[in-house]
Amino acid sequence: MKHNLDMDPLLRQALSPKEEPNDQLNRNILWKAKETEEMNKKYFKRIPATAIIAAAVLLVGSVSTVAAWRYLTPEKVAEVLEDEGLIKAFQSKDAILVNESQEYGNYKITLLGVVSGKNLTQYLSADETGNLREDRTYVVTAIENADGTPRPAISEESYLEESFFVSPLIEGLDPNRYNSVTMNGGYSETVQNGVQYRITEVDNVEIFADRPLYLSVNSGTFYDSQAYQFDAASGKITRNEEYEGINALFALPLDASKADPDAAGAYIQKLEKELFSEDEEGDADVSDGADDGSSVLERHNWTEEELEKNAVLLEDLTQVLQPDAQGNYSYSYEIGEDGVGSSGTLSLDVLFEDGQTGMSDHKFVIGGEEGQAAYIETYTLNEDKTITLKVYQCKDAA
Amino acid sequence: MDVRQLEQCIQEYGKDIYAFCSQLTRNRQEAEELYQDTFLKAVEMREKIDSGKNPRSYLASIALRIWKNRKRKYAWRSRIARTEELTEENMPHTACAQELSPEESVLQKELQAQVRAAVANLEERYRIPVYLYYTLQLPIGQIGKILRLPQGTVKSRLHKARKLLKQELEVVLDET
Repeated sequence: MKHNLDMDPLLRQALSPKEEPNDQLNRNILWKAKETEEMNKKYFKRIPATAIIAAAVLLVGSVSTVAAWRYLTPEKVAEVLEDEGLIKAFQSKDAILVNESQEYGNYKITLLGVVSGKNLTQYLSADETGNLREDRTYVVTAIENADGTPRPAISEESYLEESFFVSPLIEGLDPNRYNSVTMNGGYSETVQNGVQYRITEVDNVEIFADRPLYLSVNSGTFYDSQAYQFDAASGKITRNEEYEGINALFALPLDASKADPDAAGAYIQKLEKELFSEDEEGDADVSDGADDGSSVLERHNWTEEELEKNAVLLEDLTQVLQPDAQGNYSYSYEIGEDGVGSSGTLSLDVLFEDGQTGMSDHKFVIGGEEGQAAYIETYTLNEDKTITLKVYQCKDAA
Repeated sequence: MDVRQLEQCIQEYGKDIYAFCSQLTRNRQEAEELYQDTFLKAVEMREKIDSGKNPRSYLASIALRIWKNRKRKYAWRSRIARTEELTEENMPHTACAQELSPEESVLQKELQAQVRAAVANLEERYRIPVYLYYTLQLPIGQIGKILRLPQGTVKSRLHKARKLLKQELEVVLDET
């Protein structure tokens, strides 16, 4: 028996959604979204509960261990946070100890040290595809009240009242776009002896060490573009002296010999693609896809004269389409054996303005893939409400 | 999108996006993961979903991007663990129209199952536009934006897909 299938309704029936996602799955999504929203508000990397207990113990008994240095050393901060890997990293020759302070308003901020490298911690985070973020930079800072009163312990409610955003910044790259959030950052924090210590981690910025790097600490939970000025021409980042709040800016003294311009270039390209191309992709008119080199947009805009000049009318394919009961116009055609063809349903209100006759401004470029010729479909509204469909073959792709 | 908008989007588009995720992955566990991550990514991106933006199309583009990124991971997982595959037996079937006789109903189910299987076997360049067009019922222009292809190319791929499916299904039906 020979079947003559009408594929359109068959595909609609077979592929229409039939199964609801189960309620538990939807509840999980909402729960996770709420949790993520809360975490984003705080830009807060959870400290393991064991580390918090350890911090409480140290609060009582560790005063003598910090007497030699006013602050906990970076290695000691890692120890409080029970990060064996970072303890070793900050003991290594790759660690850079700084111990430089700046005071703004009621706060004194101290940059204690920095270390970079692969697999330095057992607490590696993963990206959205499950790959571990292995190559990272870790910066240790201390924040204290300038008047000498202790910072609230992390168990106190007032701990969350004042937030700080700590981020490495890179000269030449707009800090609005390149900061701890966009560079996959996170942090761990503890309060010891009234001083708030934070280990901030981001993707390894050592690859940029052939240019000046900075460490910014500003008020709030995200990078504040009011706190700093970026000179796009020189690439320099400076403090905004008028800013009312904390806007510390340290030089981050990384080892210039570790710079890797190729890796840096690739990183910028990757980040730009991942983070900043969404809008452009979503909203841009499509100008690629037909791979014969000439612009698809250009062809869409060809006038009748340009069509006559640059393309050949395939007269055999010209059709006069009659409207169906709903006022739509259906058509279908094939060109040769290579599978190029088109079918569809046209609607007057999409193709033509009210009262318009003649050729529609809407044209479709068909084919043009993998060495195929490119074709242009045009639609002309006739006075008797029929539509003439014409197909042209582009000369340059023929 | 915030959590409140998320809830609305799940209610309104959850079924469609879930179907799309199932078709892309053909595996229940992966479909659920992809579905979940699509909505969470939409929240994370914090892009405002307004009337000017087709949320179904926006969510489909996120799902497609995540799926493409993960294909290698899924391929690796499928080598180390058997996961429940969406076969024709456990795939949901269309509720048959009441006027169909039991025999017609069975035949229709079979035909639809064959259509789904034939679509699943299409090359990706034809299969994805088919899902976007027939499952999510997106207009050609939106599909072009999602796939970053000119509208004409989307049209010709749909046309080619229909032609290939017709050839495939007519052979199958002739043999039955």
